[in-house]
Amino acid sequence: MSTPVEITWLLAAVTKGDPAAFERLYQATSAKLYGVVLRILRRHDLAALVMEDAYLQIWQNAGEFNPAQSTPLAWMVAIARRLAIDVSRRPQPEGAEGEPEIVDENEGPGTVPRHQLTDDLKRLLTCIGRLEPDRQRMLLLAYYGAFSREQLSVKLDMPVNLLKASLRRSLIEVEQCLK
Amino acid sequence: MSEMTGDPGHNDALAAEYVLGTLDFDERGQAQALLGIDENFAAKVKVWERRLGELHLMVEPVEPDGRIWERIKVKIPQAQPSPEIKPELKGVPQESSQEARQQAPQATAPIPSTVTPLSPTPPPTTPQPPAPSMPTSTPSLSALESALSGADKAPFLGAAAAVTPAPTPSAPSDAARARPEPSPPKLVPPVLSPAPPAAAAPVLTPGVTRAPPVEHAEARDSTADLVTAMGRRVGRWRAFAVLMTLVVLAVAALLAAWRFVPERVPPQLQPVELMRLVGVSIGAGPRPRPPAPPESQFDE
Repeated sequence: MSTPVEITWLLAAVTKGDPAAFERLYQATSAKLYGVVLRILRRHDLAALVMEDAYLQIWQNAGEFNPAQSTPLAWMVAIARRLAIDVSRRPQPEGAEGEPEIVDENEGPGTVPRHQLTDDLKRLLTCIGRLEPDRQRMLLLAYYGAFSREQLSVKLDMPVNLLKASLRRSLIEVEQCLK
Repeated sequence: MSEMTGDPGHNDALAAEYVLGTLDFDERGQAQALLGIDENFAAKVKVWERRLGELHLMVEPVEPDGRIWERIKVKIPQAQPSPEIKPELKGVPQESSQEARQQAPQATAPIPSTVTPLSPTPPPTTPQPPAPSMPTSTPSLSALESALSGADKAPFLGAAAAVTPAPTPSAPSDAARARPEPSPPKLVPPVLSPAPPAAAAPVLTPGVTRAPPVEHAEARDSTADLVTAMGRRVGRWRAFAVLMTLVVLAVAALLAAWRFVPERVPPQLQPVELMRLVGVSIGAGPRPRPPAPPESQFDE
């Protein structure tokens, strides 16, 4: 995995239309983006389509990345997530063929090697850690799986209205904690 | 705040849940519509993307199928001229961007990746491009910043100029904007030095237009010869300079030895011995006396 500085340089070269840099950018980041996208879609065929769209957007919009606002990988992940969630929300046609979903018991976050823990992530995890345990789980499950509130309410065995209120309260608390 | 869209609390929650990923299909469509028309809402989404962005660090990477890249690769050239890019071109002179976009696929290839230090993209290997463009090969952070800030979409400018046969002359404009100070010449001496003859060659050829093509070939050959000769001459001068530096250093060392530690100087390097060696007669003076006190040799 390349460092943020290296990825930033590659993005800068991509802004200039350098296809070699784009290939290196892909090699350096595709496993991370694929991991993120696959978590949300749980199907390799859909994840592959989203990867194509995501990297084409990255190629076109590399100039929009602002290093003052986020890390390059977070910027790329945001693009891929947005597309993946769009696909996952798209109503599936009746009887649509496609791969079966990957069943993964571990839907929560993985672990981060200590040296990769950025200050921003530490602060965020500290703030999420202040929520009650079941709200922590709800928030992380929502982020990593990008489940809709209906799906979450089934998974967490909780009425949708209650879940919605709890989710929004959690987001506000995290926001205030981060300020 | 977001007076045009009503309840700010609702919009805050909508932005947060949009980024989190918990909206259903309809709400998501609503959020995306707002993104297009409400800057305030778009800013909120950006803030939440930043807040939650680092969570990706906790996702295990999964190696994707290699065929995905193959499919992306073939789409890149078509991706470049997409009209979606248009709005971002504001602030950049547009006159040439139209052809640039058409030519982009071919044009992008020869552009050296001027900003990336990671890809030591070799400078053009042929000696012809007299490369005034190379300054950009030393990136500056400010150049990167400006490139990244989205204020300038350089690829198109670069691509526009690169449509001309010579692959590099595109860069000077970039270079001029990105980095006003001239390049350290030592970066490209082999390219810079042959430049004068290369530039002179086209001036010569019109004069021999009636000559058979062989003449052209010869002219080109002689240019090449000139280039290599120049290169050799530069090399010779460099060797000479190094040699002279060594000589100066040796003399300085000897002088210093005479001055400060004369007793340590071996007899055959004593000034008097040396002078005799070189053939300067010192008259009938007595033979050099090794045990002479050091002061006697230089202090008067």
